[in-house]
Amino acid sequence: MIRILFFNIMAELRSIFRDPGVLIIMGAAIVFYSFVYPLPYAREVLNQVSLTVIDQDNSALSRQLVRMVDASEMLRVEGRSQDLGRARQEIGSGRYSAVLVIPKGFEIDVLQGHQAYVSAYVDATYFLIYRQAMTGLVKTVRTMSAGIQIRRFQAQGWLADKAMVDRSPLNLINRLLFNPSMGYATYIVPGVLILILQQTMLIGIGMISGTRREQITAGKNVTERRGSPMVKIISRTIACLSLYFIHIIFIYGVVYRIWDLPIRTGISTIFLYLLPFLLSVILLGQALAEFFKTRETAIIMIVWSSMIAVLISGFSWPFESMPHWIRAVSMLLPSTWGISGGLRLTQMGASFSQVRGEWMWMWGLTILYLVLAWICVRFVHRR
Amino acid sequence: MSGNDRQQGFLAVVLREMSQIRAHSRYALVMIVLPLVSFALTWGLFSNQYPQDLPVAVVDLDHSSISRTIIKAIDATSVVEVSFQASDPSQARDLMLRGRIYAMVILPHGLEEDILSGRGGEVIAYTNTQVLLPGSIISSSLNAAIASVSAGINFQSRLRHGEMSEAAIGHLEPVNLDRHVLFNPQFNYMYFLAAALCPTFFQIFILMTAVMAMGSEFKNSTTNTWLETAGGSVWKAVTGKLAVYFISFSLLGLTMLVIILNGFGVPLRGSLFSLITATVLLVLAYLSCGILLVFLFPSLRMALSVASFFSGTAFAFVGLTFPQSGMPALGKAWSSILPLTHYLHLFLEQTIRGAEPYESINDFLILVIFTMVGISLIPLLHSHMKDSWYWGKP
Repeated sequence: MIRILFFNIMAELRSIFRDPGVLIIMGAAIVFYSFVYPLPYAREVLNQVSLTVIDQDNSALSRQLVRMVDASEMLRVEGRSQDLGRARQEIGSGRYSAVLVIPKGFEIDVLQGHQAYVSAYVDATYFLIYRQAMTGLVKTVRTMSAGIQIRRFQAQGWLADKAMVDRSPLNLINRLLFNPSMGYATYIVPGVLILILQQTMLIGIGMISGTRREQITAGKNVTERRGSPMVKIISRTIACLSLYFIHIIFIYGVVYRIWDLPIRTGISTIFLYLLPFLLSVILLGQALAEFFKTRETAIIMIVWSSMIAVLISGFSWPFESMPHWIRAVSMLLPSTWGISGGLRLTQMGASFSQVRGEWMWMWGLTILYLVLAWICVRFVHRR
Repeated sequence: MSGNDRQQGFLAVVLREMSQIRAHSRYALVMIVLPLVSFALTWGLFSNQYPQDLPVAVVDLDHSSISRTIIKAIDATSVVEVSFQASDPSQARDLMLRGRIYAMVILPHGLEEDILSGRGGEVIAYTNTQVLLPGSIISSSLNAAIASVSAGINFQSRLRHGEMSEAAIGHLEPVNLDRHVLFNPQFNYMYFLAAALCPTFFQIFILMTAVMAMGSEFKNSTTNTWLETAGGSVWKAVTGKLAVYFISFSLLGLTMLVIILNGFGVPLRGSLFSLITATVLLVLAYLSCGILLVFLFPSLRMALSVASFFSGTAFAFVGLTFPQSGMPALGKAWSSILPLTHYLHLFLEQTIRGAEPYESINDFLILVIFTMVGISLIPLLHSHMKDSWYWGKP
């Protein structure tokens, strides 16, 4: 029994390492994607969004406001416009992302103690650009406004503290946890890396099976694996698992360091957490592999499902806003649980007991896909 | 010469290709089933249009009428739902680490007293921004809710102090920002993400199908019969084969536009004709990329792997979620060699931005250039088709 298992494992590892196509997917691709995928987000945050200004007041105070906007790291004043229609057109053509309008009489309103208004028109075609531009403008205007108001109160002989309180009796102190600078790489990369593990594994297993089938059809000599379907499944699982343990070390030891991502747990906890993840992925892969007649079909299906898995795993769109049928599909994907628990473990510093629900669910998937793989290998293949 | 004229030439290649498609179910899968499933799934996923009822926990240590007002104000926002009333901060923290809530709001002991006595009160929130979308919209929702409660208190206290109401308002904020949101004021994710995801799925299928259709001729060593069917002309061979996919994907592209414009309800403020032209050009551009990949990689598996990289990672690089201007130089460069980047740019201009067709001329030209590159490679494929070295690679 052990000898058969050992023989099969070696045969599996040989078919991985001797097939350059499989080796590219289950080895090189992981290295490659780990460095390419984070690339667009390498700078983490978007700064210096370009805007234009319409200054109809042309006063000391309006010029001060423009200087303050330009000094904000989120924004950069790149031009001046004469009228709003023109400025909106320039935003439509993508030259600027926003326009700040300072109306005539702005300084006088402020000096006379009236409520003064400036207007911002911000492009919401791209949400991140909008958020940066609007946040930058709101912050700048608030800073200016607070300064004026505190000076006013002080002129009436009140203390600065009291002046602050009078300005706003209730304040929100919002502390951002785990990714305080709202960095995009810190957000996306940890999840995508788990997804890369899943998808390369699925393609790899699909290709091994596809190639084997093509070679048998072509009458080529293939090392036949021995034993019952269950023994074959277990031996392939062990072979793939040992290979991917190396990838886990690579990802959490090397890739995280290179991209400077925070990691808030130990490698042994990650191993423990990802064990049922990898097992369920390997078994799912073996079940699906029986349906791929050729390796081409395997590649296409997996590229497509990568997009789907990212979309429904809850980290691009919250679960609470998904229809139930999509939520149900996502619960069957190991990546959904691997990502949600994995991120809490590695990025948020959750303890193992706080991710146990996900962990147990992945063991459930492991059993489900073991049965499914056994049925597929036993019956589909025979047909 | 074997066979007569009717069995050779452009039309013969078309017929041969159609029988290939009928013989292998995977073509129907990639050309019809999976694209339609993707569109439907995107539609379903974003049907809420904006995230709603994201769970947060509240820790009310004050138990006052003001703390209840604040909780009501938070719960009243469409984005946030107060799903848990935790007894202390550590319980709320545990809920967050278990993934049950996105944020926790702490109303400290003595809050009401602090406000009434004029010392000013503070509400403390902890928002999880590991996942950006819920993190950022919850932050702004909480800000707005607290600010409105605060403004209410401020206004009332001034009225009590006998200031005239206009002066009281004037006291609130010397300089105010009037916010105007251009083009997508509801922040509808259907217009923004869903509409862009459909063309992203679409390009995966065009490229994969083109590579599969041409590459399997090399893999199965059937390029000679392919060429013979075309009467020995590489032009007829390639264009005849791809014509089938061009027509089928153009029709699929039109279906996609109907789904996006009528189904998703994305406003068409530009020109429909431009959109249709661009969609047809997108099909041509990706068929051309297919020619390039088959030309460069004789092994079908390799060509498909590169195609899957090129099309599968495209969405990260198109600059929609994270803009091109924030990418490092290499990211920008890669972004600009994806036909999808230019298509989506044009798409947004012609739909929600309502640009004139001439404003999108650059994007049109770039899609045409991609097509020209593909066409210019067709004659070079001839030697590959004749050379048995390129055949039978895995």
